[in-house]
Formats: sequence, structure tokens, C-alpha cells
Amino acid sequence: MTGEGESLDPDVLPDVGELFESASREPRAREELVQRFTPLAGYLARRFSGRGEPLEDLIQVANLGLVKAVDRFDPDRGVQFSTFATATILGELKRHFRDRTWAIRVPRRLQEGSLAVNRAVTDLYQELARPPTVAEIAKRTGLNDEEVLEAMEALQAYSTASLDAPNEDDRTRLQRVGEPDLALETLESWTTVVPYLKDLPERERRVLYLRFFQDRTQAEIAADLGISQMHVSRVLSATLDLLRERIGETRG
Amino acid sequence: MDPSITISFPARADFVRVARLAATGVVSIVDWTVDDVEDFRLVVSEACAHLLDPARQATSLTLRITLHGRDAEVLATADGGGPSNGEVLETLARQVVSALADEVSFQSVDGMAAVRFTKRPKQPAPRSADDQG
Repeated sequence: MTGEGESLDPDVLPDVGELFESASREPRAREELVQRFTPLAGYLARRFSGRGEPLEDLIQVANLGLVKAVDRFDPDRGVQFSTFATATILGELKRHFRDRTWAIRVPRRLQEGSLAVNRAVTDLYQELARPPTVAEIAKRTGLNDEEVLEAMEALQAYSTASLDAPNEDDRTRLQRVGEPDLALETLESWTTVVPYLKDLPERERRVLYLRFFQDRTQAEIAADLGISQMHVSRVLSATLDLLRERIGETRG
Repeated sequence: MDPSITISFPARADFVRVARLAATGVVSIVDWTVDDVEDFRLVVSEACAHLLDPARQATSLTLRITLHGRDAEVLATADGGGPSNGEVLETLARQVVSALADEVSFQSVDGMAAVRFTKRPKQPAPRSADDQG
């Protein structure tokens, strides 16, 4: 938790720079960096979900990318770590799908075109020794440019997770903020919650931070704070109720 | 004058696909390769995701894509919405846009939340496959 409780951006939390300085010497600093950016890896992994690959696998791939990013990052180059990590994690996820395109689930009406496009991309990559253009794929497959783009859209293995569209039980992500099992998915809602956090007692803020930002389990938090898991559960429940109430009041 | 298209659509995640198709259609005109098109699709998606944050209560999104040679400049804005629409929110989507686009700004436009970015293709314009014979 930041001192003022104003920001949850891991890059602006204190001591990221210090952690990098000591990461090469201390395994714990490296571990702390990985933990801090795990929600980012989870977020990116979820962007690739729903296409036939188990989310758990994607999260592992993304976490692998995160570890690589921590190991390869050079703080002297003037790039924020989150920027570097995002590119590295996405690269890892894209490579994963490129290696396993057979596993991608595509809507039936697009299947034929997608398979043809996928095959043409693979062939043209080899023939041209560079990625092909849309026009080149269209010529090879006999589809028009629009059909190629639509097939690519289906093949992209990438979905814009709905931030505000109701999900299957008709609730928005903001409304689901209190459900511990949805910890990572609710991260974006923290931007709404942040202004209210500073009014909370330190312990409540700490519990929320550990649970939702660090994705720690209730048992881990209990051990960390020296209280029972039941107590952590009660604190979470009561604090989230309070936050929902305050946000509800503000929004009328 | 540089060619430009503008598309407006309801502030709903399921319409983002339409915007992505339009956006990738534009850059395919200037012969971006599939790798660059895929990256562009990611940035457009994340820019829209950033603007779709429920805190904004936006009613529609507008995307303007302008070609400067082979570079694509995108201005995405969230129209309508609540009083906090123009606020700069710290979202993970924002981090992703910053990481993938070449020049990025999140400065609001006329009180509306906005994402402006330029994406340059990494691959130079290829000669057509027919010429490689």
C-alpha cells in the first residue's frame, strides 16, 4: 500500500528502483518484483482467454514472460518496467499461440477462411522470409481483403474483455469487486475505489492490498498479519461492503 | 491532406470488434504486414478498453484513424458519460497502450477522455509477392 493510498500503479509504488538494484543479489527482491507485477501478467493472459487454451496455461505463459522481463530489464535505459514487462509478456503469449494455432477455437462460420488464412500466413512467411501483407494473403487464399481481416480477427486469439458489459449473471465488474475469487479481474475497478481507500484504517487497507493487488490468499494474509483467516475474511467482507456503499452514495 | 476515417460506435465491448476491423482495414491499405497488423489490433483494443472503464459511463466511442504515409495515428475519445469521464484513469489497459504504441497521450479532448497514439509499422513496405519471383 502506498503511504497515501492514492495510487496502486506498481511502477509508482515506492522502492521499485531499489528492488531492481538488489534483485541481482537477493532472490527475495526478484521474487517481490515478480509478485508485484503478477496482476499485469494475469490481466494480459485473460486477454487471450476463451480460444481453447486453458486460462491456467496462459497465466503460466504470462508469468514466464514476467520472470524473463524481470531478469532482462535494464533500469538504466529509461523505460518504465511495466512497459518493458507488457511487451515481454505479450511476446511470450503470442509466441505460445503461434506455436499452437491448431488449438485455437474459431467460430464455425469463420473456420474455413481462418484455416486457409492461417495456412497461407505460415507458407508465405517461409517463402518470403518476412511476414506477408493482407493483400498477399488475399491473393494466395482467393479471399478478399475484408475476408482475410475477418479471419485474422478470429485467429487473433485476442478478446477485449468486457469492462462494463454485464456478464452472464448480469452484473458489472465494479459490482463484483467484493468477490475474492475475482481478484485479478477487478483490478481496473480499483481506479474507482482508490479515492475511498485513504479513509480506511491502515489494517483494512493492507488486507485489501494484499488480497486484490498482490493476489495473496486469505490464509497468507492471515499469516502475514498474525490474525486468523476467519478474521481476514470478516475484514474483507466488511470493508468491501463499506466501499460499495460509499461508491453507491457518490453515484446516486 | 492525409487520409482519415472516423468511426463512432456504442460504448460496448462487443462493438470494439467492429472498430478493430475498420482500423486494421485502414493499415492494410498501406501494406502493413500481419505482425504489425496484429500489434495494431492489440493497441486499438486496449485503447478502447481504457475508455470503456465503467467509471466514465461513456455512451459512445469515436475512433479517428489518420494515415501519415505508412504511419497510423489514432485518436480515440469517449463521448457523453459522467463528470469523471475526462479524468485520467490508471488502468492496466493504459499500461498496455503505452507499451505498444510509439507516441501516446492520454490528455482529455474537450473534457472527454481520450487516447491518442501513433503506431509505426516495424516492417518496411514489402515488394509485392509477385515481384519476388
